[in-house]
Amino acid sequence: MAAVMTPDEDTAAVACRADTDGGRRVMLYGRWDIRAIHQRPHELLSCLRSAATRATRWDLTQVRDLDAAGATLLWRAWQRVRPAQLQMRAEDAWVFDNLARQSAAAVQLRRTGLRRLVSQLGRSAAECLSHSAGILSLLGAAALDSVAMLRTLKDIPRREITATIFRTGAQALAISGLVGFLIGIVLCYLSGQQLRDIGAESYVENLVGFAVFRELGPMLAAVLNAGRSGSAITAQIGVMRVTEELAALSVLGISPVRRLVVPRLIGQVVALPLVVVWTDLAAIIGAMLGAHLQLGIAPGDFLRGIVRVIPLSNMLFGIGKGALFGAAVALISCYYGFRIRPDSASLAAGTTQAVVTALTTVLIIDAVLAIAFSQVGM
Amino acid sequence: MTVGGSSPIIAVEGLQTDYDGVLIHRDLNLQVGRGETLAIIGGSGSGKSTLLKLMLGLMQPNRGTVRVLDCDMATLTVARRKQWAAHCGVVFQGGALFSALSVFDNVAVPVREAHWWPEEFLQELVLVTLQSTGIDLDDARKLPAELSGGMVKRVALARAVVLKPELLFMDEPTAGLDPEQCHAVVGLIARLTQAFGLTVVMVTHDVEALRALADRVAVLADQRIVVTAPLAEVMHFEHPFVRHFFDGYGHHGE
Repeated sequence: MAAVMTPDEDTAAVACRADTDGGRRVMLYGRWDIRAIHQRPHELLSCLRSAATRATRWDLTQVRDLDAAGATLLWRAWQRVRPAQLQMRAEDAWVFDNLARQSAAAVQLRRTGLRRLVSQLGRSAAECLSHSAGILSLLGAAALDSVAMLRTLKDIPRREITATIFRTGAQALAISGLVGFLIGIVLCYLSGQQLRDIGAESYVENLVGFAVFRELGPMLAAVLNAGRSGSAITAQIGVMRVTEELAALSVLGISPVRRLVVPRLIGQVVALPLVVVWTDLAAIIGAMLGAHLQLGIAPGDFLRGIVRVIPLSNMLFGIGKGALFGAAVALISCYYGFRIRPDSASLAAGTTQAVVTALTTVLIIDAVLAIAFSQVGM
Repeated sequence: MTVGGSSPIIAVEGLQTDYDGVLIHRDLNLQVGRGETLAIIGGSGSGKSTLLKLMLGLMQPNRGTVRVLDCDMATLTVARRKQWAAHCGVVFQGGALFSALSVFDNVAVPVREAHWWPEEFLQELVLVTLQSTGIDLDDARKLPAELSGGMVKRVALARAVVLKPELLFMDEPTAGLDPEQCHAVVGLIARLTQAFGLTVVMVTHDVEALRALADRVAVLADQRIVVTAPLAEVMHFEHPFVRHFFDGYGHHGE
């Protein structure tokens, strides 16, 4: 590339000389743009600095192509103050004007370590509160819209509701079934080993039954749901916001909450309990296989044992938890979807936040319910 | 034909391009001389943006050669491409700012990629470049999503010229701006072109931009360049597209 070559007269150079009145003058020659000087900025800066200590007059009239890069070096050598005696071409003045404005504004792009840490901590705490308030108010808006919808029985977004049920329910069956089945096998194997050591194999149905119906079934379903459907809801609503589809809905007089949040909420509340039942069944089948292989319990005996020792209320409790988890995941994912800003990092961060918050919330709800309903079905 | 006496900075010869089986360019020839501003006009779907992509090496032609800055775009290696990129600035139609980066970091990207300027001096360089395109210092921290359309164009311009390129490509630099912003951006481009001695290739629909910026106008129609001439001559060129394009402008043409 011929343009990269710099003939000699183009090379940036600094020269000092004495004026007739005894003052010292610094003359700059050659090209002082980034193209010409990018290979030796440090060298030129130290030249300029040493010249600056000895001279009072600056002559930039011989400079060609001075740009922000060259001016930056000069500005540093001058310690960010324009020298009193400075000659330059009129067309170069703007660069120094801009640099002077920067110094005046004291532009701060980065903050110092500790201040940043403290302010980050405060911001996180404030954000946590505002998120909670936001999710609650979204729940309120969805509830109001649902009531209005039920009262008039008009504008019920049936298609959106069934689509959500299909996506969160039907399309999740394969993965939920597989995970439930494998967890069932693992649970039965591990507990079977321990129980056999103390001669209590016959209690394997109790252990597996309570664990699966009360905890593992709903939790597995909710965790998979948060990862699959939660992230999808956030991303979808986020992109709709970025492409101004939400604005288009509002302009048409359609409430985004009614059209987007309510159907997802209802769909999730309907579908997730069904997925919980399915996951329960898969886990029990897995456990049945594990019990047969490890403890030699006949599948029929295992199933009869489960039915005999586990009260139905445990399964109902798990199904109820499923509905609650579904609602939580739907609300949180929608909330974060509405907050996506139109940039790629925001979409990524929002989706991550939605999934993490949904999982955390599900765990918190689960812990609260475990304590509150500890007497039920035992 | 060489323009302005020196060798052309861009030479497109015998170009033929298909896109999904549709012929876009047929035996298209175009040359751009150093220091000139060439505007490409043409109807929608006439292949203007495709021509720009070919010049940028984002697409390869089916036949013909595209030479930009003495590089054959078909044989440009990755290493050489990076070197080449330091000599070309591009302003995409929508700005194409990196949405995850601040305005400051967007403009710093070409400098950091070229390893041309030490990090400790970078702040002044980037901020002065932003200032020269009319961006306030306070806006340097903003994300592209927080900018107006006019500001996006200005930041895109700053990013395109921060390395003082020889060649600047612009795709519809004034598209989507209100008349006032349009006027301001055209003035800004004229100033930068003058100050940096840029060669400019732009695709545009904006007659004001043509009038203010273009030394020559190339008309892309019927899959080729039908005429390349100064605006005043092009306006009187006999072609249905040209007549339609300048309809209503002819009487205060030159």
